[in-house]
Amino acid sequence: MTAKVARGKVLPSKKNKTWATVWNFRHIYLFMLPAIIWYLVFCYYPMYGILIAFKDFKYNLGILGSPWEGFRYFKQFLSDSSFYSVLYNTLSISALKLLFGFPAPLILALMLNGVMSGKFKRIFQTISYLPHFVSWVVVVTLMQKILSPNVGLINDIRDHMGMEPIFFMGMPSLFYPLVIISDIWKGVGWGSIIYLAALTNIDPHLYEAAEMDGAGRWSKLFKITLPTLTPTIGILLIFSLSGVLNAGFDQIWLMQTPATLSVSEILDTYVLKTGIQQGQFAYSTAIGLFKSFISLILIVAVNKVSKKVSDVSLW
Amino acid sequence: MRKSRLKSSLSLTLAIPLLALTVTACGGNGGNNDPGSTTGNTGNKGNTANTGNAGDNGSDALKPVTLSFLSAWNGGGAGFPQDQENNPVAQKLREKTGVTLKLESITTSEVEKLNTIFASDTVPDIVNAPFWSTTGGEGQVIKKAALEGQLLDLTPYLDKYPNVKKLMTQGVAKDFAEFELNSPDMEGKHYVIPMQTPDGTPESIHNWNYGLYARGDILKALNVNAADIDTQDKVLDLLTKIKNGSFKDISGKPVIPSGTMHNGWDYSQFLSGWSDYNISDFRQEDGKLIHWTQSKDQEARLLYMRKLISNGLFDPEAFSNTDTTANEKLATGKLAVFGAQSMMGQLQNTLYKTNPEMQYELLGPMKNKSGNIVTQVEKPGRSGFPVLFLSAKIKDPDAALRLIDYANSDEGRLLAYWGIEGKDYTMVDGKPQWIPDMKKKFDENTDVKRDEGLNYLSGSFQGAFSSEVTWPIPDDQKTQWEKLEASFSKRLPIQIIDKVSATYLERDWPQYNDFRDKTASLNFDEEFRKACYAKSDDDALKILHGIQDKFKAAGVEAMAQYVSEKAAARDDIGW
Repeated sequence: MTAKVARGKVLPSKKNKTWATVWNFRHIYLFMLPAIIWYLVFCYYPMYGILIAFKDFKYNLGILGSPWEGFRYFKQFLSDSSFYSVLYNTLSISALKLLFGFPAPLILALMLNGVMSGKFKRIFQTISYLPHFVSWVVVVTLMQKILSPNVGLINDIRDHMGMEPIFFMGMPSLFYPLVIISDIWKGVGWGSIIYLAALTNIDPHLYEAAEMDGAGRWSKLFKITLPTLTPTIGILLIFSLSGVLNAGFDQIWLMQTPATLSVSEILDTYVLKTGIQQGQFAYSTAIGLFKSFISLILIVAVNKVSKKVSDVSLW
Repeated sequence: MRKSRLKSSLSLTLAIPLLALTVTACGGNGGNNDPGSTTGNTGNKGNTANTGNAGDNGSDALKPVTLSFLSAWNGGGAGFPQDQENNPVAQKLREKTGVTLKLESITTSEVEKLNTIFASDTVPDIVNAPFWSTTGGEGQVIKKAALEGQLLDLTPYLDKYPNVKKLMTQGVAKDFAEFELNSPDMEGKHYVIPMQTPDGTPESIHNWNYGLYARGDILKALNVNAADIDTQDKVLDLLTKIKNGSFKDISGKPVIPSGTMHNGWDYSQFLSGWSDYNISDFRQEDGKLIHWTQSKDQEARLLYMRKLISNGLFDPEAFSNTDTTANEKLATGKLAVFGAQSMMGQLQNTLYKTNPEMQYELLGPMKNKSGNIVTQVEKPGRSGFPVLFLSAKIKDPDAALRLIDYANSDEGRLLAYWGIEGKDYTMVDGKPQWIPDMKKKFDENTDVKRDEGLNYLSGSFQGAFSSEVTWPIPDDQKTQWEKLEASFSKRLPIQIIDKVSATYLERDWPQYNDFRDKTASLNFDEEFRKACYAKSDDDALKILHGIQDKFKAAGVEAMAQYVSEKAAARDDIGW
C-alpha cells in the first residue's frame, strides 16, 4: 500500500503521503463520514452561538449582526450575589458525587468479579445496568411518589405508626443525600462496565502465581487488581474532574423545589432560568461559557498533574 | 452536435422562466404579504367574512390554507377537540374561511415557550399568548419580539378586516392602550390583537371567581358556615380543625388541609388579608409611595405562610405540583381547602360526579386589613389580556386575519359559542338556545362540548364580546354548575377603578432602563417561596430582606419617589 517512488522522482511530501493513505483507505474513511458530519453540524456549527455572550442579542439582527457588548455580562455575573451560592452548590454537589459516586462502580465491579457463579453474576450485572436506561424524569417521579408527604409509601408507613409525615424532597438537609443515592443507583451498573472490561484483561496467571505465594483475597486485590486498573481509574478520574462543574442538570432540575432552592441552584439550572425563562440570552450564554472555560482549564490541569504523578493522561 | 446543444440550452433558458411563472401563478398570493395586493382570492375576504358570506360565492372559492396555531398557555390544550381538523366547528370554519388550523399547546411556562420560539425563529403562524405585565413577563417578551421583527405588523391590514380593527380598541383600558399598545416605541404599528376583552359594559367584564374553596362535607362535619370564614385567623383556625379532624379523601387517605393547583397557583388567595384594590406596582404606606416589593406587609405575609406550612396545614408539595398531580388531588377530594378559581370544569367531570357531597363551597369572601372584601379589580377596559399575534414569516396573513375577522363576526361568534345551527342550537326570537338533547350531553360530559369544537375558538379567538351578556342563558336552562358559579360571582363582585396605573409613570424615570437591567434576573416570588421553607423565621426574613435589598440597590426607592412626584401633578393616577 505504500506509494511507489520511481528513481529520479521527487519523494511525496508528508502531507501528500497522508492524503494518499486516506485515499487508499477511502472506503474505511467513508464510515467515519456520518460521525464527522454529525460533529460538524451539531457540535461545531452551533459553537458560533457563544458569540451571544459578548453581544446584545436582537432577534432581527441575529447572532452575528447584534451589537457587541464586550465582557459586560461576565462582569454582571461575577458581581451578582447569586454567583457565589450557585458556584458553591455546583461544586458541593459535584464533589460529593465524585467522593461517593466515583468509587461506586469500581467497588461494584470488584464485587462482581469476586463472585464465582457466572449465572448470578450475569443476572446481577443486567439488573444493575437497567436504571441507566430509565430517564431522570421517571426516576425523580418515582422518588416523588415514594417520598411524597401525602401519598408516598414511606409516609404511609409512618402514618400507620402514628408518626408525622416528612417532606423528604423538600428538606435541604436531605437534598444532597437523595441526589447522591439516586445518582449512584442510576449510574453504578453502567459505570462498572468499563472496569469489568479492564478486569478481564488481567492475566489469570498472575493470580495463580500470587496464590502459590500464599497471597490472600485482599493481597491479590491490592497487589494485582488495583494496580492493573490504575490507568483506567486515572482516565475516568480525569474525565470526572473535568466535568466537576456539571453537577447533573436533568437530575437537579427535576428534584429542585422551592424548599431546596438554597442548596440546589447550580450553574446549569441558573443558566436555564436566566436564559430561557427570563429571556436574558446573552447573560446566560456568558454563564455557560464561563463554565466551559473553567472546565477546559480543569481538564488541562488535571491531565498535566496526572501525567506527572502517575503517567496516566489523555494526551 | 453543437447545434443540438445550443438548441437545448435555448429551450432550457425559455422553459425555466416559463415554468417559474406558471408555478407562481398557481400559487396565488399565498406567499404575498402585501396587504394592498388584490391578486389571488383573498382580496375582498375581510368584508365577506364580516358578513359571514365568505365562500358562499362559488366564483370566489377560497383557497384551502393550513395555518399553525399555538396556544401559549400552560394547559391551554385542554379546550382542543380530539379531532382537530374535522370536528363540526373546524369544518364550518374551513367552509367559511378556507382555513384549517393545526393546534399546538404547551404544558410548561408561557414565558419560556415565548422566549424559545422567538430566539429560535420558529414562531407559528398564529399565536395566542398572555400580554399581562407592564414591566416584565410575557408582555415584554412579545413587545421585544415585535420591535425586533418577529411579529407581523398588522396596521396595513386593519381597514380590510373591520372586526379585527375593532378589537384593537374596544375593551382595552385607556392607559394600557396609550402606554403599551400605542407606546412611542411601537411607532404607530400594531402587532397584537387583544382577546377576551369586555365589550365596553361593566357587566361584560369576566369574573374569574378567585378565592378559597372548602370541601362542603368537611365544613358540615365541623359545623362551620363557609361565609363566616372571612379572615386569615379564621382560615388558620379552620385548617387546624381540619387537620385534627382526620378527614379522608375518596380513597380513604388523609386529606391535606389546604393547597393549590399547579406550581402554587394561586397561593396568594391564602394571603388575601394583605391584598388591597391595586391597579399598579405601587402602594401607599405611612404616607409614602413605595414599590410593592418594599411593603412591610411582605413580612406578615411570609410569616403567615410559614405558619401554614410548618403546622402541616398547607400542602408542602404545592409549589412543585405539576398540572397532572394537582388535578389528581382535586379529583380525589384530597384538598380540604384550595386557593384558585372554582375549578368547576374539572370538578364537575370528576369529584362532583363520584362524590357530590364533597362539593366545594366558597369561603368568605375574605376581607383584607381594611375590612373590605378582597375581589377582582378591573379598569373599565382590560389592562393586559391574551393576545393573538402573527408570525412575521406567515405565508398567508390574509388567511389568518380572515379567520380572526370571521370568528369575531356575529356568525363567527355564534359558531364559536353555540356550534352548528340546527345541530347544537336553534334561534328563538333572535337568541340561540341549545337543542335539548345536545345540552343534556354537554351537561353530562364537558368533553362532548370540547370535541364538538366549542371550546377552542371561544377561548382563543374572541375579543370585545361577552357571550353571557349578549346571549344570557335563562335560569331554567342553566346547569346546577352554572348556577353555582353564578352564585360565587354574586358574592365576589368586581371592583372597577377608572384611573391610570401609576406603574406607567415609572417609564419616564431617567434611570428606568438601568433599573430594568439590574432587576431582570431578580425573582421576588421565587425568593419568597424559598423563604417559606427556610429553617427558621429569622432565616426566612433574611431571605426576604435580601431580595428587598437587591431591589433597593437597583434604585426602587428613587423610582417610587419619581413616580410619586409625577403622580402629584395629575389627578387621574391610581395605585
